[in-house]
Amino acid sequence: MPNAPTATTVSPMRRANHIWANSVWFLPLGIFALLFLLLPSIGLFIGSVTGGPHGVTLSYFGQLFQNQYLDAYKVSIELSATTAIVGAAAGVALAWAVVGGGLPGFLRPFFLTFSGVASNFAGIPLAFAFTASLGPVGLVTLFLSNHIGLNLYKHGFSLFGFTGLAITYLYFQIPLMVLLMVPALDHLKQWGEAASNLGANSWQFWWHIGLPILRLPLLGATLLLFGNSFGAYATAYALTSGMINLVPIVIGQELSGNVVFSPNLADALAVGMIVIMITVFAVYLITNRNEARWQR
Amino acid sequence: MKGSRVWSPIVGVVAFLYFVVPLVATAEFSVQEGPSHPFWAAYSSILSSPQFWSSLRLSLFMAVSAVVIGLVIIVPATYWAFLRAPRLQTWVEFISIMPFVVPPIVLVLGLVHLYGNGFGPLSSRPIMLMAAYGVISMPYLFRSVNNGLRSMDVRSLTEAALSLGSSWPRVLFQVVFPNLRTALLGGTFLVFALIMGEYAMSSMLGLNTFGVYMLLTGETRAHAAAALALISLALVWFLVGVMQAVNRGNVTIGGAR
Amino acid sequence: MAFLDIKDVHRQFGNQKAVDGVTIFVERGEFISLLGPSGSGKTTLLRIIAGFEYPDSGSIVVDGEDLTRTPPQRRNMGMVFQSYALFPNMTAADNVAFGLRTRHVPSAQIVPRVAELLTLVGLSEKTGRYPHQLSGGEQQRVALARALAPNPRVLLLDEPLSALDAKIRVTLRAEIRRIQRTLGITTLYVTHDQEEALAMSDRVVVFNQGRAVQIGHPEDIYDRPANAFVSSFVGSTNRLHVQVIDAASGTCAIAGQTLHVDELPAGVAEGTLVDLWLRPERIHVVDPDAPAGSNRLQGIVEDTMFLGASSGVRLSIGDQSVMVDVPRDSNRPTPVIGGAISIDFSSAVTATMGDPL
Ligand SMILES: Nc1ncnc2c1ncn2[C@@H]1O[C@H](COP(=O)(O)OP(=O)(O)O)[C@@H](O)[C@H]1O
Ligand SMILES: [Mg+2]
Repeated sequence: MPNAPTATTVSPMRRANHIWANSVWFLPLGIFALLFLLLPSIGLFIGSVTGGPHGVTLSYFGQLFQNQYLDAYKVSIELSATTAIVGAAAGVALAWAVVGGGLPGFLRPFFLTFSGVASNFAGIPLAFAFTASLGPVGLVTLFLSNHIGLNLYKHGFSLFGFTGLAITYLYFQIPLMVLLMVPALDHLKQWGEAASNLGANSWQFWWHIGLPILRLPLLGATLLLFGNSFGAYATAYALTSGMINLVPIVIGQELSGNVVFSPNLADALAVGMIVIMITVFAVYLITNRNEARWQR
Repeated sequence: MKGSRVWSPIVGVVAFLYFVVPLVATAEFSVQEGPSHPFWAAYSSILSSPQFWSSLRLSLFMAVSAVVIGLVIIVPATYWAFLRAPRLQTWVEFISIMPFVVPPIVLVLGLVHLYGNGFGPLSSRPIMLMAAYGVISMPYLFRSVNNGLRSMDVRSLTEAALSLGSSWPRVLFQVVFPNLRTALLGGTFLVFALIMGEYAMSSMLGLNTFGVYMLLTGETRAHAAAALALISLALVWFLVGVMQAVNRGNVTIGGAR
Repeated sequence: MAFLDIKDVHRQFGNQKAVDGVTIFVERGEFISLLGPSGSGKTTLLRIIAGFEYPDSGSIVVDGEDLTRTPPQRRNMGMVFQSYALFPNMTAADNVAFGLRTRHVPSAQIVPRVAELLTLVGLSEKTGRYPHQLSGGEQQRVALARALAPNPRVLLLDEPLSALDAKIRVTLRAEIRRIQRTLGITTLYVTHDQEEALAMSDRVVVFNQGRAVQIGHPEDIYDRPANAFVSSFVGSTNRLHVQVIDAASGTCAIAGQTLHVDELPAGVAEGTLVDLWLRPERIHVVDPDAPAGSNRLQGIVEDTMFLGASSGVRLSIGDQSVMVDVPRDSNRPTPVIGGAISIDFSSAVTATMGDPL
């Protein structure tokens, strides 16, 4: 401070002390994140570009474009996109039914609690539940063929393929969408009331008010759903016994040593997943920030 | 909205069927072990299986460790950033939600490739799993701690305690933690729900957690698998129920898919 | 040297000079208010005194002991927050006991001390209640008792009443003052409410933009504001633009009428504009033909309003408007809107250099 007559100014010692006292509080998080999140991720990246005969190599990333791996990414992305979009549409419809007053009020807490549970009911038990229902001898399959005469498996349906997996994923995707959208829809409802008070019909309301307001939250929630299924492993593994060609499953094969291929290739596959997840998440954060600015 | 009156019930009924039928079917399936067995056969065989209990114990232990690790790393950083270093808040949040972009299978791959070939205690599989679970718990615990701090005017409470002569440990243990308790409970139960059924990471690390036990059972005994699915659902329902009762509207992504 | 010396304290956040060289000497047992608009640095100064912030330069000395770098735990100062900041997990009694426990006072002494303080603030019945079971006013009483329990050397209050509603605010401020007098505790009281500051304090420090612009007894502050800011911030006031006609005799003109000012700002030239600061209750409505007092101006009534104890009259003189407080008096006709009106005020008014409006 230049203009300090009776100065008790901050000495360098004190400043050092101060920085030390501050950093103590951040050390546990910093060290933990470094050891178990950052270094492993960096390790994957290094692994994916080294190990060839000439030191640094891009050949593993090149291999990702071979049919088998390209296909794994394609199926993973298709599955995530399908369940995200269908889940988002169905989730919004359900959330609006719950929020919009079209259903009896006492159902609201039930649907919300159930959504909380179902969005966390995933992995092995979910696969079992769907096998017991829609598997070849599942009760729904049997019911349909015995009482209605519709034999799903004769018509090419299989729980253990893409469609079956998608139907199963929706069991946690739709509820997650409901939870994500209920707050926004609760808000929207007030405007709905104002709009109908002004004589707007449903279409006018959705076109002029609902969509513009919900556009960004919808996009954000759909992206979250995409990420939510993109990294999923257990459900797919349990349903298909690891036979479906998804990136996590392929990585798992390398890890569990079932299929012998280069660890560096697994690293490259993993880095690819991280890149996709970062992209999705970044878009989500950007849209969310814009939304916040726009709402102010 | 007039339109919603018409189709809302339809949506409601379809959703109800989609969500309830699989559960009913699973329940039915679980009690049909065969004509020679009583209907509770699948359940009693599970509940009397030592592997069931040991795997449940292991998962419970892992969940508790993850929460403890998570709290030890998240609470001090979040608290201090909130109190004295607002500029670091974004960083703490950024680091805490980073696990969202690293899928579980990718995380284990990274850990195994980095530490798998001998790195002292870090190459022990249980420790790797504990750490991995700690990583997954970060976003959830961060959110509960952050919400808790926001709702309790932590700055004034801390300053009040300090001006009354309190030491830092006393501030933490008599003021901050007791008032964070409710908020922490929500995040904690959520993390429990995620970890109790987790399969991908524990199977890769070769540990017989509850998720691995479920899969192994399901490979050989279909009816027992259905029973396990329901038991697991009951567990999740309980944990999420407590979480929701404690803090409304916490939304989750990632974890044990 | 006074009991609490705040010496040339500076504190800057980035480019923002939150506290910009404040010096206050507080006598033992004195009640001093820090009054100023929001953002003027009152809280920052209080937090520096309490030890939650450190000054960039300057010092805090209590009873001859330099506390500038002492951590808050060891300053023994009681603090009361606007948000009460009661520990939600503790009962009223436990909150009050907290400061005694940190000092390892034996519990045999804690119990009677807690009871004594809760009685002092009038809450002897509610010792077992949790904060959320108490009203805002009661919570702030508990917070006061908690701050006082360890016998602090200085009591610091940061807008303690501004979260309460008007009625409770008035009773509680009287009570705080009573308790402060009973204990004779040296007190610094931050507020942005001038009425509160004037009513409670031995002395008032008016803050503006990080500086203490005037320190004085409430009457001084009100009657002899040091500058335009104090005059407009404390109490309501009229600002009249007048033009200097003769600096030596203090003659000025407004809308073709002349008036006299005892003390013009130093060095004004003829023809310059100065501002006069007139309190509404210091202006009198008079009969047009009554003998002239010091200054007499004619205007047109623009509006009248009922204010309870008095009426307010807004009148225009040329293109300027003036508010006047008129005591309600049934013998006198109420001014008619659009009618002519005469006002009278003393020539001992505060005049400052007029800045162009
Ligand atoms: N921790 C801080 N960081 C940055 N600026 C601050 C901080 N605390 C206060 N300020 C700034 O300092 C100025 C004075 O604030 P404050 O002391 O709270 O004023 P008051 O209590 O009179 O309303 C304000 O402009 C405020 O924005
Ligand atoms: Mg303030």
